[in-house]
Formats: sequence, C-alpha cells, structure tokens
Amino acid sequence: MTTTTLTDRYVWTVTRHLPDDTGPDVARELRATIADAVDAKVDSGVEPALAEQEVLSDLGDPDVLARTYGGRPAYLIGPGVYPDYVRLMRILPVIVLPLVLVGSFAARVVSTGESWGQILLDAFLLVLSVGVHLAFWVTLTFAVIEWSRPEAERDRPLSEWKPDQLTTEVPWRSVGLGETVASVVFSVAMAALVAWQFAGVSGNAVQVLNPDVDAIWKVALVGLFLVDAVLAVAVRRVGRWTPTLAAVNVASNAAAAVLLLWLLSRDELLTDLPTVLGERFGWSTDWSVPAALVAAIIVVITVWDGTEAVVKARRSVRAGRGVGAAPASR
Amino acid sequence: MDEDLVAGHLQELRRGTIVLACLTTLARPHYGYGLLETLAEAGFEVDGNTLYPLLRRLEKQGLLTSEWNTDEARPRKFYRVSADGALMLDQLVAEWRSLDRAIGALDGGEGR
Repeated sequence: MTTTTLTDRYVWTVTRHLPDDTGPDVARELRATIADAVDAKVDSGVEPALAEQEVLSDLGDPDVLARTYGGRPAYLIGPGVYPDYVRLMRILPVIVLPLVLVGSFAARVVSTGESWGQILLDAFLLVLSVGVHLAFWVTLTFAVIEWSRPEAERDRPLSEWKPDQLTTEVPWRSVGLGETVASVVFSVAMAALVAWQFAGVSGNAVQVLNPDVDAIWKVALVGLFLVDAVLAVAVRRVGRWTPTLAAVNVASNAAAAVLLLWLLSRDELLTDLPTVLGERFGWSTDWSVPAALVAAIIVVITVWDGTEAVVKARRSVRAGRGVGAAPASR
Repeated sequence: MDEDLVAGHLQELRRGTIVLACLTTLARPHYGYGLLETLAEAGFEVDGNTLYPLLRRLEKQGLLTSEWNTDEARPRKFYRVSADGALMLDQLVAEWRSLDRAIGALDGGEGR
C-alpha cells in the first residue's frame, strides 16, 4: 500500500495548516487530481510507483503549494512594507543607541566606583543587546503586519509616499558658508581656550586644565584643535567631505582623544577641581570629578564627530554616482 | 540569445493570460486535471501547482462556480464560469485585443 501512503502524506502536508472550511475540500480535490495525473502517466507506460513519485515531484514542495492555497505570504517582509521597514531600521538605532550609551555611562559612573574598562565593556554589551532587541522587535512587528494584511492589499505601502518626505540634506549641495564659519570659529575658540588654560590663568579666571602638563602635549592638543579648523576650510574649498578629509578628521580626533584620555589616566589633565573651586567660590571641597565620566564624554564627542564626517563623505561619494549637480572635486 | 532570459520574459508575458485562458475554457465545466490537459493540448502549458490554487482563488472571487460530481468512482470537482466571471472575461478579452492593436500600432509602418 505504499502507493497511497505517499499521496496521503503529500495531501496531509499541503492541507494541515489550511482553515477548516477549505482544508478538507482541498484535500479531496488534490487527491483526485493526483490520482488523475498518476493514471495518465500509467496509461502512457510509466510504472505506478514511479508515476506517483513523478506527479508529486511536479507538484513540488507541499509547503509552497500550501501557501499558494492558503494565501499566506512566503516571506517575512514583502516589497509593500519593506521601504517603511528600512526607514525605521535606519532612524531608530541612530536615536536610541546613543541615548542608551550616554544613559548607561551616566548611571554607572554616578552610582558605582567600578573601573572604566568594566563600565565601557558593560556599555558596549548593553548597546549590543538593545540593538539586537530593537532589530528583532521591529522586524517582528512588520512581519505581523505583513501576515495580517488582506491578500489584496499586500503590495500596497503602509503609508502613501509624498514628495515632502524627501530628505532635506541633499548630499551634492556645496558646503554652506555658515557651516564652515561656525566650524572654524568653534575650532579656533577651542584651541584658544585650551592654549589659554595651559598657559596658566590668573585673576578671576578658574584654572580647570592643568598648566603643568609637558609643553609638547600642550602644543599637540592645541595643534589638533587647529587641524579641525583647517579641515573645515579644506572641506569648503573641495565642496564636500571626501574620504581622505574624513580619514584625516577621524585620525586627528582619535589622536586628541587618546592624548586626553592618557593625560586623564595619569591625573595630569585636570587640576584638583574641588580645591580650586572651593578656594574660588567657597564651595565645599567634599567631592571629586569622576574620571570615568570625563573619559566617557571625550569618547562620545570623538565618536560623534568622526561618524558625522564619515557619513557625510560616504553620502557625497554616493551622490557622485547620482546627479551631474555634484560639485567636481578639484 | 540567452535562453533563460527568453524563457523568463515569456513566462512573465504569459502569467496574466492564464486567467484569460481558464475563463475562456471554463465556459464548459472542467475538473482540475482535465483543464490542465485541455490547456496543454491547446499549447498552453501550465503547472498544476499554479493552476489548482488559481482555480480556488477565482472561485473565492466569485468568478467561477464549482460542483462536486460523484457519479463516477472518483469524485471530481468541476469548475465553470459564473455570471461575474463571464463579465470579467469580456473585459479581459477586450483588453487583450486592445493591447494587441496597441502593439501592432507601435510596430506598424516600421516593418520588422
């Protein structure tokens, strides 16, 4: 009786997940159809057992056939909702993950006296797990939406697209004058501030940075801030962030961050702020600046600035493929 | 030319015409395998795993009606075009003809 068993198993596999009102009917029809096809093959001289094998092979994977009967899509996220899915997956992590990172730093630094290594590792693991959760739940939500939509609406987008959804940041526009000026002024001001602090302040000013740092590190730090100003001018002249400029920016930021962190770890970067502020304003001296918090701020600012440059460089590289309006790099 | 490419485009072109072929043929009642054979004889090769679910879908949309025939040893489900299905067929055929004319007009004058 093996000839019937194979058909039985096939029909059962196709119809097991179909609703009760159609399942039995589909099963009955499919059984007759398979029998018809097998008979036709046997009539043309094929051995019965082989004929059944061939007929079922032609019908193909029963789970695929079941989906065409049942109308369930054979994918998690279809072309209708995919653009919305991608948009959300791009926006959400960019907003949520930095908040999580900063939040976890702040909470840990204030509440515990653990080493930075531990705090950094924990923050990394937290960001990783939040990121994975985010991706999973967004995907699941969209899959549920996809699966629960009526078949007729399946290729339709969730929301009608409108022209004002177009991004306002068009990558091939030339770099604005305001952006350049702001960037240069900020960098030069930072360099001047640092230089002034390192030179040793007097009068009413508060000494925050340690004036006793080795001269070479003072010069290096001020120089690295000035590099940012030079970069802003270069970006303006070229018309966009190029990969090289972005790489220089990342390198100078990283160098500044490493230098700052190193000085911080040797307790050379800052003055003894509680004492200084206590003398100056008569505040209590019964507190201390958590080094890990300062370190976290340095890391976050560095990563932020470097990422921005890289993102802009990537955009303008892509834009170069797009429209002729891209400014030619000179 | 690349045969897979040709086959792909032909399949794409034929896909929408399966409904047209079914509605045309089902002016007289057919059961699934019988319809498959009839279509194949007319030069319209369709896979069973495409045709059988399609018949159900058309029935669900009200374009076909069905009836079980249990007179013979093997009970079979017979499909035929409903009133709505006939109206749909008229529209599809009209579209088919107008497409054919449109293609002819695009091609016209230039020769081949």
